Amino acid sequence: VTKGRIVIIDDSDAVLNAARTRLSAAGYEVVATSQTVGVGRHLRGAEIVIIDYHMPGLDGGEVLASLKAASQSAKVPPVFYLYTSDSELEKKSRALGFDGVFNRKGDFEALAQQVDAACRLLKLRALKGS
Amino acid sequence: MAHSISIGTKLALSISGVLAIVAIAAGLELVENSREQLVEGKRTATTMVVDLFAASVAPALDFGDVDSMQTEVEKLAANPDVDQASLWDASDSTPVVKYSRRAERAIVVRPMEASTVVGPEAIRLARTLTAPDGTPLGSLVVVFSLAPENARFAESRVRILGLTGLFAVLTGLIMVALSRRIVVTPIMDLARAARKLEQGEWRDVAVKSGDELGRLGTAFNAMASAIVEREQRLAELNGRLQELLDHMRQAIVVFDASGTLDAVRSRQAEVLFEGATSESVRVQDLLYPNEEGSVDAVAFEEWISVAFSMPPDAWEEVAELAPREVVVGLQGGGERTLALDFRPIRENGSLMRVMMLATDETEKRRLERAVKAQDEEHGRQMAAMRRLVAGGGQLLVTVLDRARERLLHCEGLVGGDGGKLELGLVEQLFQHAHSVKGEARAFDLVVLEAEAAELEDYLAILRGRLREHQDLRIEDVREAIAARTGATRQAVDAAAEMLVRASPIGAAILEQVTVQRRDVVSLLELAGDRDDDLGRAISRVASRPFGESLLGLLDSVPRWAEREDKRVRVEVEGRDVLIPPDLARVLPDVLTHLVRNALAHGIETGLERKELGKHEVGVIVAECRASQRGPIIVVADDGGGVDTDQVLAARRVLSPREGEWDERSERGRVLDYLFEDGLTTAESARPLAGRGVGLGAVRADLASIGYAVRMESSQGRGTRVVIEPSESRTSYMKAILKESKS
Repeated sequence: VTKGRIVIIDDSDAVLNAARTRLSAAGYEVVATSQTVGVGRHLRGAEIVIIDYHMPGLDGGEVLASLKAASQSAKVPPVFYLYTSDSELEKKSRALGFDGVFNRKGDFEALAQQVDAACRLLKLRALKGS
Repeated sequence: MAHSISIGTKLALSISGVLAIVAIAAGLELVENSREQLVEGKRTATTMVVDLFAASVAPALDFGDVDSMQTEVEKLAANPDVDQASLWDASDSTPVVKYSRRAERAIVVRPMEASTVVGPEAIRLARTLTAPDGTPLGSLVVVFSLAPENARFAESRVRILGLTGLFAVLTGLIMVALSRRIVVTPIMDLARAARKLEQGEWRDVAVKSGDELGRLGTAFNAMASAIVEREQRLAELNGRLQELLDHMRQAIVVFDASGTLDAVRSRQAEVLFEGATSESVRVQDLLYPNEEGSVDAVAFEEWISVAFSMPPDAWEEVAELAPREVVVGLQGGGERTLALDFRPIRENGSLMRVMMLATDETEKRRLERAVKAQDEEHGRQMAAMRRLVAGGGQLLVTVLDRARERLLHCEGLVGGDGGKLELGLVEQLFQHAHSVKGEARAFDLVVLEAEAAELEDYLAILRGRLREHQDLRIEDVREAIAARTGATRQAVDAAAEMLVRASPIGAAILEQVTVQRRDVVSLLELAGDRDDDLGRAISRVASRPFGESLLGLLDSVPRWAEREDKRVRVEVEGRDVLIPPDLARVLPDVLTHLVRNALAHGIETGLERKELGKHEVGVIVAECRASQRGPIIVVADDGGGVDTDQVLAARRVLSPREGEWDERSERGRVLDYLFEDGLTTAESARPLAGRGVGLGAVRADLASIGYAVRMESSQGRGTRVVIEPSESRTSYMKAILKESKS
């Protein structure tokens, strides 16, 4: 039994590998991909989607919009987090449509902690609403 | 702000005011009575005067003697109180004689009858005049002024009011003085004592009377005594609680529904949170300072909200969602990792506060990270070794050299005079970065791959901007590119260092190339028995470094030691000393036997070593040195040495004989006996040793290729096993040739 499904989209294989290794070790089912085509099928049951904004040839905003549209029909849509260490971009994350920011890109220990916090937040809000 | 007039003053002023009003009213009444008495007296006197005047003037009126009447009136007017006087005969309405001290006020109306009227300003007396036979002669009116009486009355009233005022003031002052002494001072004493009590200082209030204030003082003293006693008990309880908290290794703080800390905290809390645990601080700011809005801080804020709003039986579920760990920055730099635990504090079943226990796990995490890094490093080294064994060592060296060239080329491309940054240039840089990243990935060089990926990411961003037709200049991006290529080159150097460290033959790996076995054999055949420089060079080509014989063994030793409940370190000397191929073939097994033997029989357990005054970690040294006749290999340990009695006992069991044993001769050969097949000192076979075949097989294997093995031992200090070429060994070159052809 995993702690939840996390989808991470980044153009860097190194980032994807490290994130997959760390988050898997933390007990998550991780879908790490640099492709946006076909990602929609992984969104089913996903709790958190982590998106890199600056991807060569891809607009993070468009990726976010398309994935949000694809997850509209889900019973419990995932929350979308921006993955960046750019403080300027972090400030604009809400306006861009993200639900939150994982703001220490490259620090995979921090990523695991922030994913934990985001999952706790989801469960707390569900508990509060129940 | 309330005014500060004392209650005594207020009371005194109130009483004085009332007294003054009463005194004034009484005085005025008294003055009024006095005036009435004066007026009454004057009325009596004026009645007599007027009656006498009437008697004296009646004859003159009867005879119509106006002069006499005028004279009598003037005599009357000599009285200063007479204000007016008029005299009429019976037949005329006009006065016969009239007098007025003020002409305008003369009396002109004849009275019809006798009367006495007392007015506010004067007394008016009217009389009828008759002859002795009673015949009416006329009438008169005399008005007496009351001005003197009124003046005295006014004077008395002023004096009485003055005296009354003075009386009121004096009474007020006396009342103030008395009230201060009797009421205010004791109340002030009580107020001061109450303030002292509030500040934690307390002493008895002096009770000087038995009245209500005295009883209030007594009650206050009793109450204060009870409060102080309770405070002392609470302080003792708090002291014991604080002592308990201070002896706990956790930082303990308590917070309410808003997250605000209260006064209860452990000393460790001050240490771990660097004195930031004052009462007004919120726990959110303690754990996530300057991180407002971060997902961690938001989740914790939500947790507090949920924890205090859920029913008590939901605590376990809520507690599961609390943060388990937090990393806080330190004032002097660095970070501290805290493991967190939360406990509910309930009152009447409701959650009132939460106790947070934070344990400093920085060192534990550091050790875990170090172990993990060590494991990862080991894994990387093993991967590198696998490639080395597969002949990939040289390939990796080539890759690293090529990566250096690529990165230097990148720096050269952006190192010129500057100018417009062209897409083609960025594409060229990108290709280099991409190639370095790909090759690093192929060799599991994670750090190099990550640095190359960072460079690639940056170049990809630049490429994207150029494709969007943004104008960029080389000088604007040069520094950023140089920083990334520099970091990547450092990763290349680190990879090379790692390769050397991982290599069993040390830095020689950087010089190695792969050659075909048949080529080596051909060279050896061509060289024959040459003992010149060419012959020696060819022999080196056919040899293997000593370090290769230890491949695998070094990784296994910690695992073997753990099985024996021992700790041991293997030191290797002479990794790059060349070993002839025949010895290189058997040496891995030989060394394995010797090291396992040293571990099983020589090295003591950690506890035994500590009792013997040795370091608890044993040492096994595998050493190889070159000699004219060939390599000499020594495997030594710092264990307990060979137990001669035990070996002899085992020998006697293995080879029983009739008759007496030559003890001295036997003891001299005891170390040779250890190489006999079947001899073991272990009571039963263990994973590492005890079957009695190890050393015998070692001697046999080495003897088959012309090497001898001998053992030296010092009781309690250790054992040395020496492998060296035997006298019967054929020439080095021939051995190499023989082995190469086999």
